[in-house]
Amino acid sequence: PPSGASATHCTLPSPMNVHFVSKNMKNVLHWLPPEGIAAEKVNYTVKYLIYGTKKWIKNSECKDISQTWCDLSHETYDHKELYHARVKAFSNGNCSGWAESVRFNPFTDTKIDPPAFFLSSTENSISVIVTPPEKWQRAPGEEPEYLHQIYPSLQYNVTVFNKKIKKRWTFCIKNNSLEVQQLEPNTRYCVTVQIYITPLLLSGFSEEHCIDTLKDPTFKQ
Amino acid sequence: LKQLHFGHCVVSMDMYEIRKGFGEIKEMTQAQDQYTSIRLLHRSYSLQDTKTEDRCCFFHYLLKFYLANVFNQCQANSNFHQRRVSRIANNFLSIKKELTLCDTVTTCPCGKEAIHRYEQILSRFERMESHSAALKALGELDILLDWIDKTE
Repeated sequence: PPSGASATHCTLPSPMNVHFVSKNMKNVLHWLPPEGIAAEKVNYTVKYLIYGTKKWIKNSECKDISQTWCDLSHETYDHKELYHARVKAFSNGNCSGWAESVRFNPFTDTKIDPPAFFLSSTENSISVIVTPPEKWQRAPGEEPEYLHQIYPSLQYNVTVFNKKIKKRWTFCIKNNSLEVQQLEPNTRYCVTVQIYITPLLLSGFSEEHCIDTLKDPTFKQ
Repeated sequence: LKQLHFGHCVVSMDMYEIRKGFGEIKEMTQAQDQYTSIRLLHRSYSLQDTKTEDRCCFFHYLLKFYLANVFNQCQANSNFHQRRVSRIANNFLSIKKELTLCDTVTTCPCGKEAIHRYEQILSRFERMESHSAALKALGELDILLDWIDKTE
């Protein structure tokens, strides 16, 4: 602890609401400043622990920091492990006790982002190709790990909407491509896609993308 | 429903019901577990990495373990908690019955690997004080459910 505060005698109130915010397994620890202390006067140190081991591990990038978050994605990359994290506050030579997160299970506690997808069309059909969602990558050049490899039950809910006649179709597909046939030529169709793993683990719906089927060349208007 | 195939035996599990119930007591249960340096369901004993022929037996052991040593040991401090534990226990009970109907002697041969993995888990459990151990095992239910989800 910094000068003035003995290791055993910290009297600052602890940080609050220490919790992980996780998206596609990019795992960032967040917390709130201790109650009643001006946020700008407080620094923090973060440690984490792999559940089932003894050692609390320092994170060199989150030592004596002023922000109230710490990216622990690297440290919690292995989604077969579970983790705890804790935060201590320092201010004016004083310090707080450790404030600990609940147990974090990347496999079940992450949130899934909506997928990106690409549309193409012919006169009577549209094709939807979903970009397979990836787990957060440690390094840009690294071989990506796809969510469907991590979650064998992963599937996509694809909704196709014909705004003219207000008709909607929903498809549930396992692989990442879908062709919808027997559509009207020269008509606009709008599509959204959702990732579905379990009722408790699914993404929001993607943005809506629309495409027109081609004109039927044989049909003279 | 998650379906687990063990030879000709198919066992169905309402994973949503179980995970939803556990999700509602997970935080309070795990917060009471002070022994974060101990993990009972260690990844090296995972169900999905067990030899296919041993999975049924190991799974059967785990069901019996939770029914005999965990659910009834966890005297919950609230009705809310108790109802959810009971619902999960009833789910496990019906799964165990389904498995037993499958004539476990032939369907669930117990090879060395299944026995070894179960004994490792049990020995860690028995090394702890009983209530703390039951609480830890209940708090690790999401690990077991993850194993089941990952078991093809």
